[in-house]
Amino acid sequence: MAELLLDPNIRLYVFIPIVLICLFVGLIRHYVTILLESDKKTELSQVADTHLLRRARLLRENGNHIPRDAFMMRRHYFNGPNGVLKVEKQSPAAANPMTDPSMMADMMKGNLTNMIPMVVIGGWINWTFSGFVTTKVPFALTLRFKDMLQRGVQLTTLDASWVSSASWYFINVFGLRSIYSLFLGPDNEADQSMMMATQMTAPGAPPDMKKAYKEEWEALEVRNHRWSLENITDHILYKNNSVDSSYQIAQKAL
Amino acid sequence: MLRDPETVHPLDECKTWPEIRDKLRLWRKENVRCSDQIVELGEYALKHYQTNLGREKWAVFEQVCVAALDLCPAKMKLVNTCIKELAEQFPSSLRVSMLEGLKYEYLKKWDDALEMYEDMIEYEPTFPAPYKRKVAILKAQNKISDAVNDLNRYLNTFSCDHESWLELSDIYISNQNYKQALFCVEELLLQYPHNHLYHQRYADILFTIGGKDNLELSCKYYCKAAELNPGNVRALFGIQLASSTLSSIGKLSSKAKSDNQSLAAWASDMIEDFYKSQKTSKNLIIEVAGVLDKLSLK
Repeated sequence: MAELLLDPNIRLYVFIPIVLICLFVGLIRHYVTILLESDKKTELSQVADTHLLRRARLLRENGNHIPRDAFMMRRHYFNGPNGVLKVEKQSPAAANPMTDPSMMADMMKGNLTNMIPMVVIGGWINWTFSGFVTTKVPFALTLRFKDMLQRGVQLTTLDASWVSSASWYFINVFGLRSIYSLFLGPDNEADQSMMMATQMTAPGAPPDMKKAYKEEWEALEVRNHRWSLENITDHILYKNNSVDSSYQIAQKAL
Repeated sequence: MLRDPETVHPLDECKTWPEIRDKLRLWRKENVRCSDQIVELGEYALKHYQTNLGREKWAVFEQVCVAALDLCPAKMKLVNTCIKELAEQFPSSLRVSMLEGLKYEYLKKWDDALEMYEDMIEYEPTFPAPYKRKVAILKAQNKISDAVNDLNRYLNTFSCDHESWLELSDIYISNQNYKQALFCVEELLLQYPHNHLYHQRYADILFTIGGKDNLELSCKYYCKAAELNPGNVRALFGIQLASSTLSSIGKLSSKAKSDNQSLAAWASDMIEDFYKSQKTSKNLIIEVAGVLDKLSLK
């Protein structure tokens, strides 16, 4: 196959501008999101819930370090007939996002910073830069990749390694994450692919406390107490590390 | 919390800018309360390196302000400048309000401070610091029962705050409510099962309550503390006391008795070894031996 030579102007006026546009749109989106962000108020009851769950988990994990009656008392507190983990929780997740104006506003803002730039910039790029072959990936690809890499350039004879401008835009949209974290640090708002993932789950829905309570209740229910200090004195007396006198006395006594 | 025994002048220790910065950072991270050194170093840094600090300077302002409150009234001016700078940069910030509350507390304007904290709680009920300061104020006013009630109410919500459990156990111990103090220390043990000091504290309380069962428990927790940190001499003395007392109780089986005797002997040996290894003066070692002789029951 004859070698394809690209016009250097394509590099200057198509390839690099697309990268820069993607980069700057990401940066702008980061700051716009920060501007529009409404700080989420956590409820006091939510804090209490998380603390309670954590305390129950700690009891489950470290319960062996306290005496048996102390453990049983606490388990009764959590799991007994009127235990705090058994009390029915009305789940706050029932709130309908449509009726809560602040949630609606959040969704609006999410769309404003995510979907609209995506559509507008994508359309604009398609319109301005369509029909260019911009670059070539440095390895051979099968024909299947033509759909992915050569959007907007329908040439059946073109090798699949060549990338069209529209496809180059999409590669940039999804591939600039590490560059963003270089500019903005981790946890930035610029990355669209992350945004898309979070949009799939309902935004702002509090975790289901009822379920968490039930799980913790079950885990604590099957937990038995084995006091870890039961044999500590024997352990100290009869461990054979040093030749101290008490050890020898103990040995003789045996 | 921790602090070098000899007072060193921090400015002699770290001369270059990165050293100063790292030292301040370390103190911030570890929450060290060496106020005089923090003030000395922090004031110096704010004076000469404010541009180098960049955005970190606000954290340093806060750090210096808290430390300077410890050194009042000599450093009152510094406190005021810090609060002023911070309030200008962060109007309506809760952390700045905290500092102002602390200042009121220093001036013993309890009502103003309480009002400040109440406002903060109303504004942001999930921010734990003002609740704790309120308890501290009540304690300072010697309204112990109110402080206990408040702390209990706070722990109802923030039930994993180990600092508060520690404080509550302290208050209970000072009021000789040992059963309640035990409960608090159990919470601490659940959260930090590898901290020898909590084990030792638990054993201390049990030993104070007394009785055969409690002594046995106490001995075991002293053992655990000594196992976690062999250098915990208090725990070793605890083992010695608890086990020698136990061995003199009539109701024990002969095996338990001999076990307790050898445990006491082991603890005495460990204590003596410890003092010998510390290169202390001869007199102290002799003194310790004398004390041990007195402690072990004839």
